[in-house]
Formats: sequence, structure tokens, C-alpha cells
Amino acid sequence: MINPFKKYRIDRLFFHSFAIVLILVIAVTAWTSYSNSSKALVQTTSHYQQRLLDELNNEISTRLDMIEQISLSTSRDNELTTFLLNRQDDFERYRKRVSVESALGNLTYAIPLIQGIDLYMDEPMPSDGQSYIQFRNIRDLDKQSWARNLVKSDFAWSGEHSIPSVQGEIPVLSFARKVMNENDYLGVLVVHIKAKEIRALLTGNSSGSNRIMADSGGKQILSIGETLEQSEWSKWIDLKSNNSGYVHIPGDENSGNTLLVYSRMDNSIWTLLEFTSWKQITASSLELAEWIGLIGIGAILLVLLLTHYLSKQFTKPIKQLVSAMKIYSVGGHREELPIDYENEFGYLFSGYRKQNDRIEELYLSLERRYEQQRKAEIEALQANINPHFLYNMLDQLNWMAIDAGQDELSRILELMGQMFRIGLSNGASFIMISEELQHIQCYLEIQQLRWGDGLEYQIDVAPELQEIYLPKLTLQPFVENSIVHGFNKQRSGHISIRMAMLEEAVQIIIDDNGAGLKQPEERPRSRRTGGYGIRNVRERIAGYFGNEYGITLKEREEGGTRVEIILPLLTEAPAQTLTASLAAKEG
Amino acid sequence: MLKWKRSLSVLAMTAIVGTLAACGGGGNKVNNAGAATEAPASTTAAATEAPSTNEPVKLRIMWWGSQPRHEATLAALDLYTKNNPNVTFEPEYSGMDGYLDKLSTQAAANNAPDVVQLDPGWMPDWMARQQLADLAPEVDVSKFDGKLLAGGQREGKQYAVPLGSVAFGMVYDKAAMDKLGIANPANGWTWDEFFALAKESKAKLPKGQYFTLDYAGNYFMYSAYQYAKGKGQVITDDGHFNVDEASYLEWTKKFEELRKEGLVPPADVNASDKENDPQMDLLAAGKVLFRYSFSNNLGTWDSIKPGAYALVTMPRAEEAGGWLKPSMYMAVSKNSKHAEEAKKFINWFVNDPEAAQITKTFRGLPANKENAALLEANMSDLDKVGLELLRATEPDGQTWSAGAGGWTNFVDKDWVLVRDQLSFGKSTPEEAFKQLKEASQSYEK
Repeated sequence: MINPFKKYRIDRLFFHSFAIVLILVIAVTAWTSYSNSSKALVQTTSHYQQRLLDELNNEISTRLDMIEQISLSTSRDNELTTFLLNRQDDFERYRKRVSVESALGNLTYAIPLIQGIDLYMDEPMPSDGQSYIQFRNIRDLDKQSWARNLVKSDFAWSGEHSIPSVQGEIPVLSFARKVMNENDYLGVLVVHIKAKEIRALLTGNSSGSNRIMADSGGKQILSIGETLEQSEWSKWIDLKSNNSGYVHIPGDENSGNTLLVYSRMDNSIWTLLEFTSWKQITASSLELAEWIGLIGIGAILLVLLLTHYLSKQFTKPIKQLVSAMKIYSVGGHREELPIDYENEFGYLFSGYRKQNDRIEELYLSLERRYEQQRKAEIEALQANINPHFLYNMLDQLNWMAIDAGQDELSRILELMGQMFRIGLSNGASFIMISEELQHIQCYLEIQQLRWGDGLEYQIDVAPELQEIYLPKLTLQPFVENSIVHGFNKQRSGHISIRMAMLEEAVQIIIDDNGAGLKQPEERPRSRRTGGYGIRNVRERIAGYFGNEYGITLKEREEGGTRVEIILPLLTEAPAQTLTASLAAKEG
Repeated sequence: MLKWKRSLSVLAMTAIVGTLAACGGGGNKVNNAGAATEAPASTTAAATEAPSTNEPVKLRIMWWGSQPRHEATLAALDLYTKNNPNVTFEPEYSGMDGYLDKLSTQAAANNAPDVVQLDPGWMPDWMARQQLADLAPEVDVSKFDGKLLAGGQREGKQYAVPLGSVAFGMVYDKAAMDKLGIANPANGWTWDEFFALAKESKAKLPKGQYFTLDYAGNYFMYSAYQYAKGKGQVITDDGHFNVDEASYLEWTKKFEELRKEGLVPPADVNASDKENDPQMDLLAAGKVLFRYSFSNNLGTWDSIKPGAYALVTMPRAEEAGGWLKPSMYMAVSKNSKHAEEAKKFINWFVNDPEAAQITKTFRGLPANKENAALLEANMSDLDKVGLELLRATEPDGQTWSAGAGGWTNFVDKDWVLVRDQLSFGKSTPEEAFKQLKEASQSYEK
């Protein structure tokens, strides 16, 4: 997994992380406020809707009760029953009709709720189809859709239907009541009330609501607004109980969720239902959430700015640093970094500055060392010229000694030549032990030629050590010391050189049977610390290998001196790689 | 880089402004709306100098009539609403049957419509009961015939404006008579000719078809007869019963005769007649040849059976039988909550030429003389027939009077009872006269 903080640009990181946090916070806030407030809204809405519906139910019920009572009193009116009994002659019948018509007419005119009244009777006198009061033939009763409700009951309400009038078709609700006289069924009095008025009652002050008025059996009488089908809603209501309530009807693919609030009361035969779309109730919650979202968008835009500003402020010093790094060259023009940062950037800048100083310093020292090395190399080259010259001279001297028949001198010159060659070793500082031994043997042979038989030596070196490297001319100063100083007052002397391999080191032991370390009083120091050569060796070893390795001088119990040299086990010459790498850099 | 910066700052500005606007949105909107509505309101007020506000008003208006009148009136209301969008109407219209009962019941409940159409005969009572509002100064009556205006005046105030003037005459089924070979009557004919024509037609009328309606007990027809006989008003202007016994007996006996001869419909058929109803009007149904009519009503029958009917003057005797009268009045209820708007509407309805073009002569020749002249200039043939009756009645027609107040029930109830008794043969002409005279006692002043 990639750590985004390592991959993306800082300003983007800033923006995205701020934005994500903000979006999350806003989304959570919006959702919480939406869900909580919508829940509360649904509860409040259903509570108040139910109370409102109960009140409307009361009101409608009062009005319709009044109609029922009027219908009752009219149906028991003596004039009406006499008219329906139809026992008069034509004139009386006509006059009764006029009087009944006028009475019913006045009822209609006095109660604006009533649209008209129909009287179903035997042998009616025809009236024009549009007047308020209609006398109809009782045989036509069955043609009315609500007539079957009268089979089991003496009175019944119809659903909404239309009747003709001068002003066109008028939608009405009708209340039909049988007119009885001493168990005789005389006719049916039908009071039509204006559906518009009931609709207005049902609408109340809240236009745009969706309500249904149904009878106690759950049969829809009239509806306003957009409502569900009767078959849809009737299954959600308990028609046996006279309690109001509310139901959440889950929507299908066509319609959303709906809140159904209904009112059923003990003193009313009506059931009122109200449908409210869930969307509508929670609209204000949604609006709230939208506002929060809108503010969120505003905030995100602000965050965009803020992060842009912040990241700019943060990356500015970094950019400065990067550009300073880019144009950096040793000793060249230095990009000035601002010095007023006191925070992390300040540390960074001062660190960078210090580092630059150090680099500068280091470079200078490197330059100095390189200069020194070059000088040394030139010196060494110059020095190499001298030995070569000497070597050639020795060769010429050798030829001169041979010409003069000086065989011994010739041999010495030859050995010296060998020693020079090894000593030069093309300028290498490390040589193999075999070469070192060869060198020391040449030296000892020369000394033997000078000493005659008095000088003996023994070299004991394991073959596996032959190819191990060591600083050149390590042995010669000690051997020379033994001969020059140890055998100073003796006629004979014995030198033993042994080399042994320790774990990671080479142990060289040089024993002599000379005067030992105790020297005559006139030169006490030189013997203890060794002369120039020994000091040179000691310093070289310390310089190359550190203090773990070194030289120990001590008295031998049987007389003489023991020199113990401990060197690292070098299978190749280290100094040469150092010089080689230096040379490569210079190139 | 510079561009990017600039666009970023623009983005920033929009974001900030957007957020601010979002936060303060509600308040701003209200302020803006307030400012927006204030300015035009003041300018319009200054421009039109309309004293009334333009708040929506719904005027209830009630009239009676037949289908063509309903349609014309509704069209006029639509036009008014178009010109004055704040005024809408809730029309209540019906036939004449039950109209007065309904209006009276509503008035009794202080629930009368704002604008009402009233019969000239009801005017004295309605004005006496102070159920109407003074129409001045909104309604301009300067172009009206003073005689017609008088019916809507009481104590110097104009409570109602006449809508038109009509002549009382007769309509007859010209097509049927031509087919049956019965001669057409001519303007200026007499009652003798009327009854003679009835007798003459007897042989030609098939079964179930009659000469005229049973007018024996009809108040208006008897009035016309008594006028023709030169015996004056049935009820005098000062409120006295003035039925001339001899004329009444003559009249009722002539109809008794027609009844016996089957020249008027039997009582139950006669009772089923509903004037102007397409099915129940006996003239429209082809069952009678004659019935009384006002000059403006020809159009209604013509709409039922085009081209079949014609008008003729009310028969005369010593004097003319017919008369000119205001067709109807329009008034504003005393309890109207929008009386001012109602009066403005009436002013438009009776004075505006455009309104006159729409309402035509369905309420008679307009009482506004300019509008009448305007309509006369390009009248339809049908309207010309009505105008002809008007002109024929005008020269020696009876002087119409609204009559005395307080006799409405006498005409509408007592007279009607006697009418039915006569029609059903329940009383003799003598008994009928006696009954009327007795009933009149309680109305005498």
C-alpha cells in the first residue's frame, strides 16, 4: 500500500483530506438532522392531522346529522304523507303537490347545503328535469345506484353522484329515507346535498390536502386531492374499532411512501382519511439537509482556498530549499534562504546552511589533502628518480668491481641493487612478505660479508604467509638495530626471524642475542624507543592499522632483545587501492 | 500561474457570496419582495387614481331566465372578470319557478346574493322592506328613460335600475296554424276576434292540441282583459281591490266555455305547463297555439323550434290590452359585503356598449337609450319581431305601474288558488269572484 503522504503533492493532500473530513462531517450532520427532524415532523404531522380530522369529522357529522334529522322530520310531515297516500281527487292532489313542492323548496332555499330534494312516489306528476324539487316514479328507484342500500335499512347515504340542474350537472351526496305511514311504504325522500360544500368542509383551511370521506363500512363517499384506491387503503384500517390512528404505507415503484391518518369516532358514522406523501412531510427536513449541504459546498470552496493558501505557505520554503539545492555549486553563488523562519522550516534552513558550511569545509580540506597528495606524489616521483639513478650507478659500480676483480664488492653491490629494487617497489607501500624477506636476506648477506662468519641468522616463515602483505621495510630497521647496536661490542651475533599466523593477524618475532635493551649510559634513549627507522615503522603501523597492532620491545631472559610485531593479515595491499581511488577522482 | 490565481480568487468570491446569500437568503427575499410590490402599487395608484383596492372580490349574482339569457349573462360576467381580474362571480340562475321563494328565503337569512334581478312587481315591497342598497353614485342612470327608472325609485333614491323594456303581448305557433289552416292574427286584433278564432279552430285542432292555455284564473291575462274593457287596474296604485265583477265573470265564463269545448287543456295538463322549458312548455310541445309573451321572449321559443313562432299584440276592446313595462330590475342587496364592487358591476352591465352587445335583448330592449339605439341599428330579424310588437304596443298601450306594495301574496297565492280551482272546475266564476274579494280584505290598506 502506497502511503499517500509520500506520493501526492502537499496542496492536494491538504485539500483532499480537509474536503473528505468536511464532507463526512457535513454528510453526517445533514443525515442526522434529516432523519431526526423528519421523524419528529411525521409524528407532529400525524398528531395534528388526526386532531384536525377528528374536528372535521365532528363538523361533517354535525352537518350530515342535521340533514338526517331534517329528512326524518320531513318524512313524518303530515302534508307529505297525506300527499303520498294519494286519496284525494285531482285538484286536491295538485294543490297538495304545489304545497309539498313549496315546502320542500323552502327547505332547499333555507339550507344552502341542500341542492335539491327528490320524492319517489306512485304516479308522480311530472316536473321539469332541472328544478330543485323532483317528483319521481318509485319504479325508477332501482335505477339509482344507492337504492340497494335501502333494502336492509330505512335510510342510507349514497356516494358522490351528479344530478342535473339549470346550472349544469351538480355533484351531490344523497340521503334517502323511506317514508312510512303506519307500516305502509309510501315512497322515498331523497335529500341531495352539495358535494362541493362537504368537499369544502373536508378541505377545511388546508387546500392541497388529500382526503377521503368514507362511511363506517369503509366505503368511499368522496375524495379530494390525490388519494389511494379504496382497495389500497382499506386494508390498513381496522374497521371494527372506533379509534383514530395513523399508518405508514410503504410505497411501490409508482408512488412514494405515504402517511395515512384516519379519524373514526364513536359519535360519527364517518371515517375521514388523509394521505400525505412522505416527501411532502419531510420536505422541510430535506430542505434543511440541502441547506447544510449548500453550506458544506461553500465550506469546501473555502477549504479549497484555505488549503491552497496553507499548502502554498508550507511548500514555499520547501520549494525555496529545493531550488537552492538545485542551483547549489561548491564555492559558487549561494541562494539566500529566508532567515525569519523560527519553526521546523527554520531548523531545516539552518540545518541546510550548516550542512553547506560543512560541505564547504570538507571540500576545502579535501582540496588541501589532494594538494598535499599531489605534492607527495611529485616528491615520490622525484624520489623515484634518485633511487633509479643510484640503482644504475650501483650497476655501473658492480661492473667496475667485476672489472677490478673485486668479487666481494661486486656481490655487495648486487645485493644492494636488489635491496633498492625491493625498497622502491614502484612506489608501493605494501609488499608481500616474501619480498620483505628477500630484502632482509640481502641486507643480512651484506652484513655477513662485512662480519664474516660471526653473524648468523635464521628465518622461519610458513609458506602460507609468503603472499601476505605488510608495510615495506618493516623488518630492516630492527635487524639493523640489532646489528648496529646489539652486536656493537660482540664478535658474533645471531638473529632469528619467525613469523606466525594468529587468528586475524601476523605475528613477527625478531630475536637477537645482542646487548639487549640495556645500553651503555651515553645513549640510553635511542635503544629504548628505537632510532628513526624503528619510530618510522611504529608510526606507520599506528597510522595504517590503529592501536590494536603495534611493536613490543623487550629483553630476552637468555639475553638479547625480542621484537614482537603484530600486523593484520592482509591478503592484498590496501594502500594501493586508496591511492588508486584518489588518482581516479583526480582524473 | 497568474490566471490560475485569478480564477481561484473569482471562485473564492463566488463561494463567499454564495454562502452569504445562502445564509441570509430568507431575509433578503422578503425585503426584495416587499420592495418589488410596493413600487408598482404606488405607481398604479397614481396612474389610475382608483380609490378601491384591487383585492379579489367574489360577487354572488342571481337571476332567472331561459337558456339563451343564461348564456348571454355568463358571457357578460366573463368579460367583466377579464376587464377586472379581481372580480369574479358566483352565479345562481334558474327558471322563474321558485326564484322569488329562494331569494326571499336567502334575504330572510341575510344571505341574499350581492346582485339580484327583480321583477318590477316586487320592487315596491323590496324597497319598502329596505332590502336594497342605494345605487348612487356608482350607477349612472343619466341615459335611462325616466318612466322606467321610476319603478326602482323610492323617496328620491334609485334602488334598482331597469334592464330593459318589453311589451306584453302574445306568441303563437305560426307554423302549426299555417299547417292547420288557421288564419294568423294581426296586430290590433280584439278579444272578440280572439275568442272567435278559438271557436273557429275547434274543428281543425287534432286531439291533444288546444287553442290556448287555461287563462281563466291568470292574473296578467285578466289584467289585460280588464284594461281592454276600460276598467283600469286590478289593484289600484293606492292599494285597493279593483276587480270589475262584470268583466271578471265575462272573462271566466268565456274560458269556462273554452274548457268545455276542449279548446284549453284539461287541468292536469294545464298545470304541468312550465313556461320556456323545452319539454314542459305546452307551446313548445306543440300542444297550444297561443300563449302570452313579452316581446323579448320570442328568442327563447325560437331557440326551441326555430322559425315557428310569431308575436302579436294583446287583443284589445275599448282600449288596448297590452302595455309596455320594464322587463326587470337589477339591484344590490342591502347586506352585500361588496356593495361598491356590485354597484360598479351594475353600472357596467347597464351602461357599457360592449355589455349591451352581449346581453342583447334577452332582458328586453335595453332601458339605456343609447344602448337601445345601438342594438336597433343592427338587430337580428328575430329581435326585429320583438321590436315590432314593442312599437305596435307603444302608441296606445296601457300605462304600466308597479302597483301598490303589499299585494304580492294576493297575486302569488290567493289568485293562484282561485286559478287552480277554476281550472280544475272546483268553483264557478261567481264563487271565484267572491273568494277573491274576500281574500283581498286582508290586503286592503
